[in-house]
Amino acid sequence: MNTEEKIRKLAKSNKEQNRFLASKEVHGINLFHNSLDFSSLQELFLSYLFFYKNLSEEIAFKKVSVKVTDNFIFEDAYALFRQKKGYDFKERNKENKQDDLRIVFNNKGQ
Amino acid sequence: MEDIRTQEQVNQEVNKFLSETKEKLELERISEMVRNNNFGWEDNGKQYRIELLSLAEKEELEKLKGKKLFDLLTDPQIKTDKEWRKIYKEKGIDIDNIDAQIRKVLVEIENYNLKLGESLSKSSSEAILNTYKENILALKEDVSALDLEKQSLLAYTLENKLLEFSGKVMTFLSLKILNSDKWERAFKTLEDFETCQDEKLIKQAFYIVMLIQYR
Repeated sequence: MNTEEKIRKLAKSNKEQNRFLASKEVHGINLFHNSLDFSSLQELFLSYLFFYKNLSEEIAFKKVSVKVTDNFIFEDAYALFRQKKGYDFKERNKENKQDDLRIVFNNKGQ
Repeated sequence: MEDIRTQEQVNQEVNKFLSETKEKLELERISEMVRNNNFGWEDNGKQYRIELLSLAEKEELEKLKGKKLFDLLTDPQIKTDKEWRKIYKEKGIDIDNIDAQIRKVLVEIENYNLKLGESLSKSSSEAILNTYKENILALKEDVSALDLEKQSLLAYTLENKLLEFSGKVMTFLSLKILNSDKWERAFKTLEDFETCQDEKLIKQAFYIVMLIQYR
């Protein structure tokens, strides 16, 4: 494993993903000892933390199966495919409107 | 009844355990390196560390690089990338063609990646996914081989010499030693750094500088 693969594997781990989420939600939980002047290794680690957070969301929303996490080749291929195809804003806006309508109709005037 | 394992099975299990332990230790080490923007270690009873360059040190780096670039440009023995390519072409080695081959293979890799990405989004069969994966891996090896050939041909260009010098100066400026509870530069001058006999220290420092400072 080269250094980038090790960083990737670390960022992908449950432990680091949980720490990453906690650092965003809970004041006082920090990823790094330094809060400024990140090293290039830290920057790479951060970018992969976001990468795997986004990927796990895609899996949770059933846009892709968990198979994508089998290896780095699959992950990179899927990320490139999503990047090239673009984020479907129309589809996302349509989902939001349906949710809004449900809230209105379920409210029953209350 | 006892499960009798062959020597080969035992060896396989031991190798698997060692490999997993090695990987775990490597990940722990990289986890330590990531927690801070500097990294320290001990060598011959002394504490060293690599720190990010300060603004003053970055200015010092640029000044030394500028001086080195002038020395390289005014040395008639040193040729640029462009000049080396021309010399090789006269000998029948076309490096521009190697670049073109690399670009072509990279386009193929991108196409396979897009097909693989789409297949993953459609939950295609394992056979299809693995075929794309194997193709991508094979093409990546082709690119590595071409890139290695190109790098070895262009090892002595002016641009590469400047890059090597930058790495050396970055290491010299970043490497600090703990002296009476105070971190100071490990070597007073670049000449001291260049003539240091402790090859292990210099190699370790250079490796960490490349990880922390250079991308």
